[in-house]
Amino acid sequence: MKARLLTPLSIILTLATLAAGQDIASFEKRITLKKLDNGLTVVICERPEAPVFSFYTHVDAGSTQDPQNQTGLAHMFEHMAFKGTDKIGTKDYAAEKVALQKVEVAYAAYIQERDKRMGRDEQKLKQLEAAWQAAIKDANQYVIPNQFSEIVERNGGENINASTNDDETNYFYSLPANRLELWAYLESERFMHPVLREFYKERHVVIEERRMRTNSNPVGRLLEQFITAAFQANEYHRPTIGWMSDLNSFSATDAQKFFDEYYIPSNMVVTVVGDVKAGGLMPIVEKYFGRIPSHAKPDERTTTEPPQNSERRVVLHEQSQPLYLEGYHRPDYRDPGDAVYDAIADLISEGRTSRLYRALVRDKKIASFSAGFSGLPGNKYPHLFAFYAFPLPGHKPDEMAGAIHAEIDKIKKEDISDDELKMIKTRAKANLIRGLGNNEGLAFQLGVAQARYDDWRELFRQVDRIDKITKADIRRVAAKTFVPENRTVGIIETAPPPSAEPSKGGE
Amino acid sequence: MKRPRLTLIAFFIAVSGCLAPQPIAAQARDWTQVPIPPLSAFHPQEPKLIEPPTGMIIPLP
Repeated sequence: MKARLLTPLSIILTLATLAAGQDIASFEKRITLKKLDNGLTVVICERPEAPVFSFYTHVDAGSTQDPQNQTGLAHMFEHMAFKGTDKIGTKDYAAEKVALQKVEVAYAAYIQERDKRMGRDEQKLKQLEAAWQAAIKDANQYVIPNQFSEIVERNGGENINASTNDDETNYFYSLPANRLELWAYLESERFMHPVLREFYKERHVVIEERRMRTNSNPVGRLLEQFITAAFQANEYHRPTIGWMSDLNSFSATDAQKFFDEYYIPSNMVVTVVGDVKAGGLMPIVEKYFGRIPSHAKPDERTTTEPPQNSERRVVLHEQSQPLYLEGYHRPDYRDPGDAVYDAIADLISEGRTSRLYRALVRDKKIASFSAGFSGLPGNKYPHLFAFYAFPLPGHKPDEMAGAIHAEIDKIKKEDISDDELKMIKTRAKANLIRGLGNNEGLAFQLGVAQARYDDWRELFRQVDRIDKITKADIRRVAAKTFVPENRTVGIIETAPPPSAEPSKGGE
Repeated sequence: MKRPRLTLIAFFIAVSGCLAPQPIAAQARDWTQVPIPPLSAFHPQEPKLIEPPTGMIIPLP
């Protein structure tokens, strides 16, 4: 019995130890914030426990910023940021530069002929395509493949990667603490002198990514069509991976224009966390990153989604497991009710004590899993709060809808219990502490908070906001948001096995 | 008259050289030129050990 008590005791003691010093006051002492003259925001957090550091470069541009007819470009540029610079990844940049310009001229001629609405000359098109491919072959002779990543890895780099979503793009990796100046050199060069070499080869990688994650994946297909149905005006209706025809059309010149507009110091936050001293690191950061020319922040306007006034439905018939998904429009992360949505997501989804698990999985035994969450497809702009369930064999998506709506009605009409409210608040604190557990997680969270609120302290204030939530807040926000006319439904119905008909062609 | 002046100038040049803020080393033009200092010694923090009567040992960082 004593031994059984020890596990929760040790968890509490560990959390208590971690929690000590995980508040704003303790971070104030360790964090240095500076906006460089060129507009770049730098956040440095001293955490000397081990001689390593992690960083996140946050670029305030995601697929929402993709230009018209060029969906997928933000994500494409993320891939290109690993291709090197005018000094890294090339055998002879002067010659390569000329060769790359020829690739662009040849591609523009090819695309112009390919996209003619009338009078396309097929013979000429073949010649233009061959000329473009020949130009690519010529440019490739100067490439040293993967040199940027190899330099990082050779110097002890870990987890070198990047991510793009609807709202932003992030670049990150970790290095030993004595590689700070090397990091500052590599990261600043990457965003000062990027060279979009091997662009069309990498475009194929992205096209394959789309085929794998969306075209060949029933859940991917549903999600894409569901989001497209829910957002008709706002830029969220465009997939981050991009539409296939756009992927097959945009050029390295288009990607360079995107880079020139959005990868500017005033649109970026660089966060470094680890065994660093701000007094020593800041001059290094200024020396390297301060070289990037300043520009005015890009236009931040987006199209406002008009209110939805009736339910929308997307139904796919697929030879796959069925799925039920529904989403309700909600305001963006700056809304005063933002923390209440987080509390609702926790109440219905976190663990085996959550309401959806207990109702659909444990008691009714109709679903293998069910949960709800905010942030679909992003959260910088008004977005969706979604609920979903995977039906067990013999059960239909409509049963999921009924069971989920019964749980939503309870949240709208009845106060949650004291225990549930206490659990939500405890878990919010535990989740924050867990997120700060390593340098990389902390760098990411500080960077996003700084970029979104212009104040990294907001990372900690979210817990305070959850702490102030009342039962009435939860009822009020649920009653306002979870109404049928604000709902978009996405369903995968299991289709019978195919007959002898030819298969549906992908893109 | 000339000598003391030259000495004075030389003195001021020398002093100003010492008192001027140390310039930050020039930016490396190539990644191979970036200086990499030795990694400082790593002394991990000793965990606090809690030993309940059951004999279990709980290390707390």
